[in-house]
Amino acid sequence: MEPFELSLAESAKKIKSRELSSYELVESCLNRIASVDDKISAFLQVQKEVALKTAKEADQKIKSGKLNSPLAGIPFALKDNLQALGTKTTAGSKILAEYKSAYDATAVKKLRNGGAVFLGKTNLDEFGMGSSTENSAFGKTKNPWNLKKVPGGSSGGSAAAVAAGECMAALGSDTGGSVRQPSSFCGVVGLKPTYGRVSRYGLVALASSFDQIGPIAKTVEDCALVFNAIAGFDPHDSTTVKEKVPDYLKDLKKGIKGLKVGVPREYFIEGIDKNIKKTVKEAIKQLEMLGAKIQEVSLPNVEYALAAYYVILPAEASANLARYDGVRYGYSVMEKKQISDLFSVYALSRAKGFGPEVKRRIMIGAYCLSSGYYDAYYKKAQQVRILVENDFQEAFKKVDVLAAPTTPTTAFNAGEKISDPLSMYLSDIYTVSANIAGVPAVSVPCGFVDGMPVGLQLTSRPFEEALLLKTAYSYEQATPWHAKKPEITGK
Amino acid sequence: MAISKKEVIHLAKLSRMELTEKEIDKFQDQISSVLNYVKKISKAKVKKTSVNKSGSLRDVFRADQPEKCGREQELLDQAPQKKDGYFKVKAVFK
Repeated sequence: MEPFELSLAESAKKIKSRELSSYELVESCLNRIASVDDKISAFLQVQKEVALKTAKEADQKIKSGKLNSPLAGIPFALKDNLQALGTKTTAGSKILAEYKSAYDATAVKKLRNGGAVFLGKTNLDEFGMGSSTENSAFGKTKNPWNLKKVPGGSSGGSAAAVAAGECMAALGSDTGGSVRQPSSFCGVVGLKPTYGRVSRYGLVALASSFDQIGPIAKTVEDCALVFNAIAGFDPHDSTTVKEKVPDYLKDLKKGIKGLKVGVPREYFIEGIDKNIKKTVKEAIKQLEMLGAKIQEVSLPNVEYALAAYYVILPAEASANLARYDGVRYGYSVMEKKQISDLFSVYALSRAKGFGPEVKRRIMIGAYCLSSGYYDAYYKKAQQVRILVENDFQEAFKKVDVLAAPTTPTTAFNAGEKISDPLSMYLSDIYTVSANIAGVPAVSVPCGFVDGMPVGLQLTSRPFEEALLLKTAYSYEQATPWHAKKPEITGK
Repeated sequence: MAISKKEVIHLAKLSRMELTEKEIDKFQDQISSVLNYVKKISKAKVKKTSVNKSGSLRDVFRADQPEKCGREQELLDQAPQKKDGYFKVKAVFK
């Protein structure tokens, strides 16, 4: 077995026992990238020299006993909307094509301080807007299981990189499903933390009341290891909470006997592929065999959740993206001779710098916030938000964890949804509610349909990620899915 | 269509983005389709409660004391035009 094929936990163990060096592991991942990334295009930037240098330094520190954190010497990929010193952070957009990070995101800094090695930055839908990574200004990423299909989005590069063995784990971001959906499409584990659990400082903001950084990993244990390192209060992000961070590994293997699992009936009616329904129902049966008590619950306002999301997200995004004005950084027309007024600097820098999906969402946001429409759209959507939060609160009075599909279909074909934005939005239908309500949710592989991975989505109460990960771990260990790896063939 | 061409042009102006004729037509179509979908929230039975009543919201303050950033040069370096430690822009007032 090549080092790149190990799980993060296995490789960390071997590094600690000095059976494997960080240099060997990082080199193995870099070789893997060199061998498959021309087919997958998960990476926008690969930092070969810096990574090997960091690995060498990590090995020296490990040898001298100066570095013994759980992630010492482990190679990571970072979604390209995370600031990381020494890299460009493009957010998948022409408007930031040459933007150099001026600081580390807190989550990145925490990994770096723990001795992590960064292999490079991964592809994403521009500014996180998309569900297929087809909205990137820098090319499309392919699904390692079938190169004609999308890896999902917006963290498609990170999910594909983990699935293809190009890194031990990756960080992504999730605003409406952007960690969970690509994880589901690529057959890996992806966690969206409770809102406020992980600092957003250094994450290029999309919708500030939804965004969270989350780990994408080969196994649940790997995911918990990374989550341990990045969770916690940050004075730079006033939406992070002072709630103590538990050790997410502590109870991971304790089993789920007696756990009350709720199955939301609304997630199994319209629109779901019948094979996905069958696969997820089998997964739920597996939870029952592991000792969980299954009951049906209702989330009656889920039909409004996606609509409310596509009002609130564009509204917040239109505010967050106003900063890209061609004045302080990023693509600018300011120096062009024919530009004589400030308005044109804004209007043309943004016209040339932003892709079509970004423009659409900014304008939808402007519409929903404008006088005459604000009450019917933005205000109403925020009121719907409270209904969705209440739905979860009511469900969690009866059960501890919810089980449902992550997505209504498996990965779709490249190009299939790109000309119909609304059909692309509908693929988020099962994931957005967790962002609206701020609750944590994880996607774990639960089978295959026509050779493509299916994800089981587990959701729990705020700050109960330990329970969530324990449930996911129990399921994972009782099933064969996590051992299956894609064979990357074709073009 | 849920949105008129005139409204699309107005939104582009509000958003400070210049659109081509082709874009205006395409976006009118696509934005209308999205607005038609999201309108369904009008059917939701919401409570007449303030939108700021979400349980997890709280104010977070710090002392109103300025701090030196220490990275002024790095930040200025990324600007297209600068002068004497300031970002340079086109005239705001004529």
